[in-house]
Amino acid sequence: MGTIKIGLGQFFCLTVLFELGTALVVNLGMESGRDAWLSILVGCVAGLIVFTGYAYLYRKHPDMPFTAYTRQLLGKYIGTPVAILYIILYINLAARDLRDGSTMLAMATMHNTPLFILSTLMLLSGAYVLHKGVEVLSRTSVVFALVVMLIGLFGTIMLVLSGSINLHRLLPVLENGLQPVLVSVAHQNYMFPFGEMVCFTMLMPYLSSVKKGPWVIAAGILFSAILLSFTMALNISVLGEDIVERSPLPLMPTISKISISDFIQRVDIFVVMVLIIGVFFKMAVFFAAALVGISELFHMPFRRMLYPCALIILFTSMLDARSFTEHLDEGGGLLYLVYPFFMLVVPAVLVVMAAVRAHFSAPRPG
Amino acid sequence: MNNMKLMNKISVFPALLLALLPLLLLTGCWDNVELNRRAIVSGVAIDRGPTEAEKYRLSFQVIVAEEISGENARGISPVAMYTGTGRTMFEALADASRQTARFLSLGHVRVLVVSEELAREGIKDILDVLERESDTRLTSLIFIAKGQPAHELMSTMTVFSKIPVNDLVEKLETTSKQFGYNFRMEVDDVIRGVQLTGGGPIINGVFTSGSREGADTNDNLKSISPKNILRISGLAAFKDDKMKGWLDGDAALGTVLLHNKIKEFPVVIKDKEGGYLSFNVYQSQVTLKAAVTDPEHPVIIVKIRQQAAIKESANSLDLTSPEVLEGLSEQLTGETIKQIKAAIASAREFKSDYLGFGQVLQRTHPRGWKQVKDHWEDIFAACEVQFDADAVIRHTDMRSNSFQINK
Amino acid sequence: MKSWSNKHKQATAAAPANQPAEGGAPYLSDNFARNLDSMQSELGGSPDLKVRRIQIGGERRIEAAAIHLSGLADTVAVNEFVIGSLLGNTEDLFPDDTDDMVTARASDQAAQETSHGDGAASGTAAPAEASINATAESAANSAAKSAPMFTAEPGTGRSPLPQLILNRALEIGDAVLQEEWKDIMLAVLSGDTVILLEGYRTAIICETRGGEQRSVSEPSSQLVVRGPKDGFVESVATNISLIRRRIKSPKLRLEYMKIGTETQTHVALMYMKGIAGEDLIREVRERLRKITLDEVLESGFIEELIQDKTFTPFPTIYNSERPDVAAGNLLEGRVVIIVDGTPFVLILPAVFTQFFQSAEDYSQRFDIAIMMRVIRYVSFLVLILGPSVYLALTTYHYEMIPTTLLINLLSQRENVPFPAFVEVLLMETAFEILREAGVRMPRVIGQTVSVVGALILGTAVVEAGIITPIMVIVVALTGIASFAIPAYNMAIAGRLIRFAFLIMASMFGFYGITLGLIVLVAHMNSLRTFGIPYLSPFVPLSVKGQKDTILRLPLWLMGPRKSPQQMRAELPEYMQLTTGYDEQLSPLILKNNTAARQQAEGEQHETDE
Repeated sequence: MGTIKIGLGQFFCLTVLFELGTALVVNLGMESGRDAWLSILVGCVAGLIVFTGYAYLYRKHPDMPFTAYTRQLLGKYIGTPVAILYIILYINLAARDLRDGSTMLAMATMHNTPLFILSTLMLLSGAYVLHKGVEVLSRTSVVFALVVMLIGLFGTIMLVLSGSINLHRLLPVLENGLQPVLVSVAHQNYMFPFGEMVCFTMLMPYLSSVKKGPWVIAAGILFSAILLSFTMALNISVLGEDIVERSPLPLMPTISKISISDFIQRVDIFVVMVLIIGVFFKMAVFFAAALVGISELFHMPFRRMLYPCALIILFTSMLDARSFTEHLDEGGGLLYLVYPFFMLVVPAVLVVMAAVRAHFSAPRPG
Repeated sequence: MNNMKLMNKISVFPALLLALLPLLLLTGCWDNVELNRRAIVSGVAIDRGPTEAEKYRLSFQVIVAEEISGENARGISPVAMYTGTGRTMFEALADASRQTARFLSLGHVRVLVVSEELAREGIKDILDVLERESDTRLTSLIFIAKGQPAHELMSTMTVFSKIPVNDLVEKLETTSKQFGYNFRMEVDDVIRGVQLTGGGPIINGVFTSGSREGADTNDNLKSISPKNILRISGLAAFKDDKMKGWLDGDAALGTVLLHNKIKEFPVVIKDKEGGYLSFNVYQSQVTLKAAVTDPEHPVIIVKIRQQAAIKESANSLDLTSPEVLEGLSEQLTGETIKQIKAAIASAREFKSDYLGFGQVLQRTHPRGWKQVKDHWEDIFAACEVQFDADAVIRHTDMRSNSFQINK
Repeated sequence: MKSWSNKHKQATAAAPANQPAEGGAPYLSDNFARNLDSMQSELGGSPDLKVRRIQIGGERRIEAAAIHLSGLADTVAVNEFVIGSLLGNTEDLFPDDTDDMVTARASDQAAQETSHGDGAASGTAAPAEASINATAESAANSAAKSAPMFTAEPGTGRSPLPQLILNRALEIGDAVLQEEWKDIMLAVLSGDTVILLEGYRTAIICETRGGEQRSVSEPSSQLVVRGPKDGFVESVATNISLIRRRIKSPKLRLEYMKIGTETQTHVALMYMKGIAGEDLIREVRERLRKITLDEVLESGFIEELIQDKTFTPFPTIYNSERPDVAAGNLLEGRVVIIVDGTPFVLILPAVFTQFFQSAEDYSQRFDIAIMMRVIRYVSFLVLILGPSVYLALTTYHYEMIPTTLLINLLSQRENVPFPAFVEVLLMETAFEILREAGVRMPRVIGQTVSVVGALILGTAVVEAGIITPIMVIVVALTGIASFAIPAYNMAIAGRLIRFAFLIMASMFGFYGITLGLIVLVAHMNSLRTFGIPYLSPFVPLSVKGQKDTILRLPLWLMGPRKSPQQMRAELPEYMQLTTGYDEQLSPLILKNNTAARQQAEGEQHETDE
């Protein structure tokens, strides 16, 4: 890989924005009812365990992206198809994310704007940023991580001031025991959004410090999990479990409850901004992962595949499903059947291979 | 070399963008609606139509902005009302839209008034569109029109605001802050209330007093005493989504106290000698707890903490004596307990746990709640309520004893 | 510069040294009349070329001529010190007669010559001017070249006359011998006086630059309430003296270049040795050297050619009219480029935050300075987002506007014929026209323009019901916000971006604005100014760097000053690297060797095309 290095702080912010992505605004983990905030935290722990595997692979191959050490560990003939599958996965994830984002946007404010236009605009912006390089993306994330935090802080303070928060709505904790929480984790939360960290295996070679890098990313995951959990708790304590469960974007009605003497009202547009920022960075990271994969696998300039790849993402996202419901249903299927293969099975195999190889090739002490 | 470089940079990305830009500009601005193409709706009245095809009769109070703050006002009414009917709320909205020149914009709906007739029939069908539609706001206030068609409340000229709905909102704010037992009831509160197991929401009542004749014109305001006044009064008690009856007086006040929504209210007690004393309770904190030994027989503990000031004491009580004040505060708590008991009594009468006792049980004892959830109504009707009340008379305002004490 | 010296070399190679002087011949001929003729003919017989023919020496009279351009040269210096000393001091110059007095004077002059620039007696400008010649590379080179030639002067067997005159007769602070035609012509065109002697192929160039100049006065562009009131002028020498007077340190270094094949403009490069990074200085020097241009009339010409090449509205080089700003930046390790003929000096590298600093921040209390800075950043935001947010709010997200305000806006809009977007565009354009007119107008009429524009046009437009009053407020607010930014070029950048945001907002509301912001920040992140990320010290975040950005900590907290270069040196290696923007391959990051990069780029493009 190249000599491009990205600072730890920037990687932290990129991780946080990536994790928050769409997850911040959707009703994450609502399978466990009003304990969704708990299931996010548990999911985060599961995600961290999965990430340990990625980090292990990274430590073993600090200069290679995932697609490169796949080939090294599995051999050329198995490794290359697997690497190509991963590139397709990243393109698919980027496309799905784009679809998520543009549909949510259409639901929230832009009722009449064609989905295609919304997606195109978002994708073009992403392509522009990636055209400037991965480093620019990560630096930009610093600024917008700050923006998202500020919006969050503003929203929380305003909700407290307008007296909409009722913590009673979070009670009782664990009404039905731990089981629903664990079920929700097993169904969704370990994978979304934390399992999606698999695409960071493509970007981790850019980390400026092999030693601290994975820790920083793990801290980013934890931090974003706390934020997500907090947001979910906020949603439930403002709207109540039932409304949150039925809203695809619960953060919007939550924030729209802000009303300070009829002057500050309906600030849900800030949620839309958070949504746009999150979707943008998530999509851009997937996009970047796919591009890095392509350029590494085919020894092609990074930028040459930028626009073709953008077109593929755009059309994948448009042709993905006819309706949002279909899209979500499809997503659920992928989440059960396909993603675990990529996010758990293959990395696990690789970890074992790497460990075995390290065991045999390492000089025996004494 | 510079030129070549320039060309190269232009050619890749900006060229693409530039090619797209006119495309975007030409195809137009999809969601762009100019302000003067909008008809801002300030309030909606929902009535029950006579037939199934006209099940909902929606009356939209639309703001005529130019009459309110424009320079070339024509002297016409500051709001206009459009009415549409339909089988669903949305159809009714579409019907009303066809009558207006502009887009009916629901983003600023501050008040929804539902007629009592519809409320008694059930409100759950009308709530769906209110939470689904992204334009409407969850912070809109809901009222029940007490014994009259809801649209009449949208067509009454008011004194203090050119927009009648604003007058209503301001009245509610005033009563909820002082001397009243109504409080802000917003759309999502109602939705949560409807889903309360064995209970329902409570919604503010509103009605017009006086003659309806000319209420919707400026004639209404021409005399010093307006002919027709919008008044907020009473609470509509619901069981599930159906209205069961009205709460007034002590029962209403007690209900609001149990919901902890009241900030300041007057209390009048009668002292031993038969004179009256007025208090202003300026802080009142009611917390509910459930003591569960047997889920079938839960005990609800109502803990009341109040702070009050004496506002009127036209008698010869020695207010400088702590003992006297102690006695008065006991009477005060007695009064509060009386109100809450009245509230519980009416709730049992309506067989509706809108007081949230079930929720308390669920919070404190989720397992027990699961056992009794299905027949909670029966338990609610019989469960024991204990009181733990404490009131403090913080001060006696600007005088200690009344001058009557020196007689 | 480069091309000029190339030509010069070619010429030297082509024509042997002792050819008779024709128009473009490289050296003087020994024919005195012919020299005079060709000089006059080369300037096209220009009437302001003054040739004063005199005869010098006692018994053996020699024809001589003092040539200068009137107006460019200091008349007093020419008359008294050049012609005067030629006529007065050459009587006994001929080698036969030796005089004690003359030797004494000569040694005196020699002393003066070695310590040029220190002569305090002859006014403020003169010593600095002298230092120009002393340090100017060309002069030094030619002096070095010419030195052996004089000793080898054929046929005389004694010290040549020009050398003698230079050593013993001329009462002028700075004079050198010169025999290359180009240099002589350049000297005349720069305002020096050239003395030609009959029978000698060597001319004496006397430093007599002068003539009329604007005196140091208060800068017109960057005003402060409190702070020094002097500003740079058009003379590079005066400007250097203004800086030197503020930094009396031997570390302050000065380099000269002449840029512009036709204009031959003096460009001075100043930096603090040891504070400014060596690589930065090398880079700047390299970029300056690469400039091939006919004319350099303003520092903008230089700025455009040495900035990091990226399409951007943002300035990456700071310019200032204030010597205190230049001095302050020098001390912070930046490089200052002074161009003759303009009071605006270039300061580089310049990051984003620098354009929001004003000299006054350091004169005021720190808390007040912080407030002023915050206001500047806020006004920049208002400038780029003000109208677009208004547009997005009214045409897309009307639910956010408080109801009462909405009613107000609605009633205002009731009879306006244009859509809001057109309305904003009209007003913004009108405002830009007004501003442009106001700037170009003579100061007396400028007042009228602002009165007519702001008051009459504004009220008329509202009264006629063409534009809503709130729009006038919004546009006026953005206009005022643009003036709150201390750096004019940053304000222009903001104004340009504002229009882009307007279009985005009109089509997509807040969606467009948010995406626009992301792209804008990404764009700014991709910018570099001489290797330093444009948004530093925010991104990449440096806590130490925050001391003087939005915050302006009290001086005692700022601690020992660190230059950006020093800070850069302390940064881990990866942070010193560029975006790899110009690299065609995957985002490899190159070492910030821009010169090499530019070269590589050129090659790449050639292969591309």
